[in-house]
Amino acid sequence: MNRASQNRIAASLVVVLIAVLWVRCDSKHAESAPSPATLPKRIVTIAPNAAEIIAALGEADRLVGVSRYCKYPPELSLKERVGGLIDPDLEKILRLKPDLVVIRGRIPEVERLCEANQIRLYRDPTQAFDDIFIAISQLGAILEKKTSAKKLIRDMRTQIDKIADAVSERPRPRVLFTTERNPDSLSRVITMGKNTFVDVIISRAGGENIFGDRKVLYPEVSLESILAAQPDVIIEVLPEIKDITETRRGKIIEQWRNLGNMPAAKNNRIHIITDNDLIIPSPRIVESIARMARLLHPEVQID
Amino acid sequence: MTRLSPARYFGFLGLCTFLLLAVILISPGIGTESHHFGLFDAWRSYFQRDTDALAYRIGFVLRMPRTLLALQAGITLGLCGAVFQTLFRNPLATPYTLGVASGGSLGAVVAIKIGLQVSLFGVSGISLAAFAGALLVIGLVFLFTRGARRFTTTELLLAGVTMGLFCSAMMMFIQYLSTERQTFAMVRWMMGSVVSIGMKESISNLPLFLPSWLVLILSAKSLNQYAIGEEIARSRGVHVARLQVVCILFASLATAAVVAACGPIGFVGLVVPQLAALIVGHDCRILLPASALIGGVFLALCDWISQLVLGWAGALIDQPLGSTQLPTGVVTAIVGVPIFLSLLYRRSQ
Repeated sequence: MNRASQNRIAASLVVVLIAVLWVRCDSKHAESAPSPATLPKRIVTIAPNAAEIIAALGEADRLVGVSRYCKYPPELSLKERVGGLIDPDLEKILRLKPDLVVIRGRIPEVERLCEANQIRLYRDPTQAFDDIFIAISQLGAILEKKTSAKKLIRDMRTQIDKIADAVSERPRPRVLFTTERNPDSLSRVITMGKNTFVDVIISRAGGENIFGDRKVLYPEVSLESILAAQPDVIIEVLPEIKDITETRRGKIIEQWRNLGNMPAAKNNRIHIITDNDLIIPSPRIVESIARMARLLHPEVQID
Repeated sequence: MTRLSPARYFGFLGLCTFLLLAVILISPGIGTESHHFGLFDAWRSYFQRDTDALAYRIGFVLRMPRTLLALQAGITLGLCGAVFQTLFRNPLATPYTLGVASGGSLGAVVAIKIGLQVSLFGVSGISLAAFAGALLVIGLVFLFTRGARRFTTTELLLAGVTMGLFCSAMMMFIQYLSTERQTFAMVRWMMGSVVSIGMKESISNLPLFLPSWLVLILSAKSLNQYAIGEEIARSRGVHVARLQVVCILFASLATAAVVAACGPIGFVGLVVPQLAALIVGHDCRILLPASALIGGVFLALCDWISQLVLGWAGALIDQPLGSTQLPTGVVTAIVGVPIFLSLLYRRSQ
């Protein structure tokens, strides 16, 4: 191939390329017709919190498929599993013939699947604490369970207020809450910043998150700032350890003690939680707040 | 350059093409729900034109488009890998060496962070941002290296790797500032996936791929001269600078499209060309098409394994693991490395 012809080929291909790029940008996906809003009878949910809400509204029977992270209530163990957030099993979702698919946040391939097959999609908007109530009332409307949803929200708010009242007169302990760190040393400690679920749970339970002023949601904090903040209580979540041995527990507490003279270490207020249920934004958040309040105010009776 | 016998050329490439077509034909039968909807059900619904049947929706809206996208991505990565390895005279070169993947990932991460919801003409905002990021990085790399009087592949490599590292650092910074769900979406995106829903979506990148494939395969002869030596290539009438620019441009464009559509699927672009070279030798006329075809078949097979392997594992221990799938990029490494190492071992014997 000589130079001139190579030149010509290159030039013509560039022209073709620009042309097809243009065409490609112009081809629009066909808009799917909005499905009529009938009462859904076969629901698939990828979001664990939505599964809990649907069950709390008394409609667990309508769930035909759930993600592998949907573990509560226990009756969900009998449902078909449709993968998880990272790997939703699109074929299985289709096979279950759902008339409603529930996701939280964005899962592009599930959204496209629903669009292509005209399946109704509900996107749970939950991000901040109060969004839980929005999700409950929206799911209540979709399932035509508005009254139950209203009652559920009212009961939750009443209980949350009751806990807040019980601890309101007490001094607010300063709390370090960590979900992640290097397992063998106290390095890369990740905590929760302002307005995260845990931050709100701690404050409703009558405590103060020592890093609640951080604008970054999940800041990695240095050991000296932990030491400087002098936490009264340290709560560590280690969901990867199912049955924690006493030696392991002692070792973890020892690590914190070695860090220095913090009130939490002096007063034996280092707690290890081995389940992850604390931060699922579902009706059980009331239980999470109660649990937190019992840790922070062991002297107060909370039911 | 030794003569390439037509028998070997057409024999090998014919075999690869046959495999490729076979993969397409059986693709509607393979997926996580194969035990409910097999190949036969899918094709029957196709010939009965029963487009509402579940077997049709699963076979021809989910499975075949997914396999087609895997084939296109694999062809592109294999081909571009072979071109880059020849062009840079470096067996470590991949289609991502000039920072296309990092630029694309950074674009996607930014789009996820700012919650880019626009979908311009049906292409999702994240894909658009990834494509733009990849092109921006390639543009910058070119700009910096062309500023120098003499344009060498070493400078290109250095600039590309540096830009790649910079983009990775920026990604970490943005992830640090992100919410849990955003970070999650970013990690998911970077694992790569060849999911595509509907034929239209799966071939929407073909107008970008086809010209690039053509240009690169047509450059094989000049690349052969270039591989012997730049001076020799010049003396034989190859315009070396233009060859470099055209090859890098089209390879990067196609790779950027792969990254935008599938995320940074690793490994195919590194190992497939070397695998092909071990089988067919270094003559670009056969190496390039062979890398392309092997890459396509390889990625499609890996994608099937990624969908099936957990089901098999569950059957083996007689306990359902929940029908789930592995990230395709994990499977390409697990499958590719042993094949590659054993070939390497046999050659060194």
